Amino acid sequence: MKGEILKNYVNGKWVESEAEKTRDIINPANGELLAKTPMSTSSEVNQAIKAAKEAFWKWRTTPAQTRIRYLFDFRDALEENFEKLAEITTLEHGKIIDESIGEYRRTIENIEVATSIPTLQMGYNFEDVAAGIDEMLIKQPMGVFFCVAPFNFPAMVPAWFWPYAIATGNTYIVKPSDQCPLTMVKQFEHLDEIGLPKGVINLVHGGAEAVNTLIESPDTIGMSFVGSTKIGKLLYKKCGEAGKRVQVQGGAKNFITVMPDANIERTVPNIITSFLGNAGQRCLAGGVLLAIGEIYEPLKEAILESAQKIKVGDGLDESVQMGPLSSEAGMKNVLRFIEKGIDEGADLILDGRDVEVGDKLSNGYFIGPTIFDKVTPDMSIAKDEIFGPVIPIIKVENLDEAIEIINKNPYGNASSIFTSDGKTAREYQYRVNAGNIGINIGVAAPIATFPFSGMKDSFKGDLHGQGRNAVDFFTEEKVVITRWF
Amino acid sequence: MELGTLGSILKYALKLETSLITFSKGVLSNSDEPKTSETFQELIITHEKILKRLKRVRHENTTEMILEPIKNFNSNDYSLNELEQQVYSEENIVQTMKNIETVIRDFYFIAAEKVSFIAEVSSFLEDLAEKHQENLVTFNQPL
Repeated sequence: MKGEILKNYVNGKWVESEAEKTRDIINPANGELLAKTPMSTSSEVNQAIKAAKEAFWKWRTTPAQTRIRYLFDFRDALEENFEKLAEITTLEHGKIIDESIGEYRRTIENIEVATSIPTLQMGYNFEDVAAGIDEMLIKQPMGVFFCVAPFNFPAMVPAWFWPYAIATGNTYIVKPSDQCPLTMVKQFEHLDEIGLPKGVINLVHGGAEAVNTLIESPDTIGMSFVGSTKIGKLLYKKCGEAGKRVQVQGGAKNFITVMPDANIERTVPNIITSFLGNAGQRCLAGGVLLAIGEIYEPLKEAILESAQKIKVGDGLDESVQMGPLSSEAGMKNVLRFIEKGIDEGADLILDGRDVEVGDKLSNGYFIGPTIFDKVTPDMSIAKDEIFGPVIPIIKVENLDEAIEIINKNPYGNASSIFTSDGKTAREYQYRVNAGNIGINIGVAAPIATFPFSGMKDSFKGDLHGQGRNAVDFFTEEKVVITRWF
Repeated sequence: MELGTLGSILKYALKLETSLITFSKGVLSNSDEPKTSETFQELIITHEKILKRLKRVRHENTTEMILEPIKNFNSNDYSLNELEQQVYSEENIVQTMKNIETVIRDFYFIAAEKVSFIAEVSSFLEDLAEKHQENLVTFNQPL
C-alpha cells in the first residue's frame, strides 16, 4: 500500500486518477506514509456524476425490496470483515481499536435502519377528501446526491447519508476525507463485491476542486457535509445559490454541566470519555466542563486523577486508551490552544504536551490529556472548538449561570448535564439550545433511528442525517388527487 | 500483554477459546478411543458456538468510548503457551485439559469482575466461567 495513489470508483470500476496533485495519507501514530490521495479533477468528478445520472432511472424503478437486499449483503460483508476494517480506520486515523470497532457498529446500525426503507419511505392516503375524490402522498427519489465527509469518523459519517440515499432510489457519490480515505476505499471494495448495478454508488477522492464541481453541476440534487463551520457555511451558501438540497453539520463547543447532586463516581468516567475519547476529535466531544457550586473541588480532583491514568499510544496496541491526533496540523492546532490558554491566564493543572509514548512513536502526533482550571467564559479555550484532548474547567455558581454561558456560545451541537434531580434535568433539556442533549450521558450520540441533530452554528439546513430525517432529505413528496368518472 | 480495555479482554477471550478448539481438534484427529472422540466432538461444537457469541459480544459492546480504566489484568497470567509443545497421548490429555480449563475459567472469573461496569458483558463472562467450571468437572472424571 505504501505510497500507492488511491483509485476512484466510478461506474462500477476502479479507475486511476489523472490528477497531478496528491495528499499524503500518514499513520498519525508513527508518521509513516500509508498511501496518497489524488486530488481528482473536474473532468473526473463529472464522469462520476454522469455515471450516477445514467444509473438513476433504472435504479429508482428497481423495487425497494430488491434495492435493500444489496444493503443486507453489504452489512454481512462488514460483519464478516469487521476486525480488518476497524484496523484500517485505526491505522489512518489513530483512534484506538475499540473506538474503531464502535464506529463500525454505528456504521452497520445505519445500514440496518436503511434496510427498513420499504416502511420508512411509505407515503399516506386518504379517501373521500371530497365526494368521490381520493388523495395520496408519494415519497419519490430525486437523482444524484453526494456527501463531503470528514476525517474524524471516516466510516460512520458517510453512512449517515449514502445507505438512505440509495435505499430510497437515488444514486450517490461519496467524496471521502482526503486525510483518511482508506476506510471508504475498503468499504467500496466490499460494495464492488456485492454487485450493485454500475453507477449507483461512486467514490471520488479530492479536495476543493472536486467539491466545487459536485456543487456546481446541474446534474446533482443535494449535498450532505460534515466538517468545520467555516467551510460548512461557505458550502451552504454555494449550495443555496446552485439550488441544491443541503445539510451541513459544522463545528461544536459542547458544554458538560455537573450539578452538586451528581454521582461523582458514575460521572467521572463519562466525562473522561466525552473529552478524551477519539483524542477529543468528535463533534460531540465535551468542550468545557461547568462545575456548579460545591462539587467543583472534588470533581476537579477526580477528573485529574482519572485523566493522569489514561494510557496514550498507538491505537493498534490493545492496552492503549487514547491514540494520537489525526494529523500534524491538528496537533499543532491543539498546541496553539494550550499556549493560548496559558497566555489568557488559565491554570494548566495537567500538561499533555510532553506525553511519553516511546521511541517507536516519536514521529507520531501525540498530545496527552490536558486540563485547565480557573477558566473563564471569555477565554478562547472556553469559546472555540479545540478538537483535542483538553478539558477546560469553569466554576459556576448555579444552573442559570451555566445555561447563560452555554446559550451565549454560537455553537449548539450537544450539551450534557449530570444530576440526580429530574426537575433540574428537565429544566436543562428545556432551556439549553443544543441539538443533542445528554442527561447523565457524556456523549449524546443518537442511534441511527434518530436524527443526528445540531443547532445554531453547528448545523445549517432543515433535515439532519440518519433515520426519518435522512429519508425525507433524499425524497420529494408528490401529492396525487384522483377522481374516476 | 496488559488487558486495559474491554476490547482487549474480549479479544484475548477469543484467543483462549480458539486455542481450546484447536487443541480439541488435535485430540480428535489423534484419538482412537470412542469415548474420548465423543467428548471432544461435543466440546468443539459447544465452544465454536461460544466463539461466535464472543465475537458478537465484542462487536456489539465495544464502543468508541473509553470506559473506566482497567488495571492489574495481564494476559501473561492466563497463557496457554504449553499447548504448542503438546503431544496428544491418552495419558496426558486429561491433565492438559484440566490445566486449560482452569486457566480459562480463572480468566473469565476475573474478566467478569474487571468489566463489571457493563453488566451484560460481565454476566456473559460469568456464564462462560461457569461453563469452563463444568468442563473441569467432566475432566476430573475418567473419560
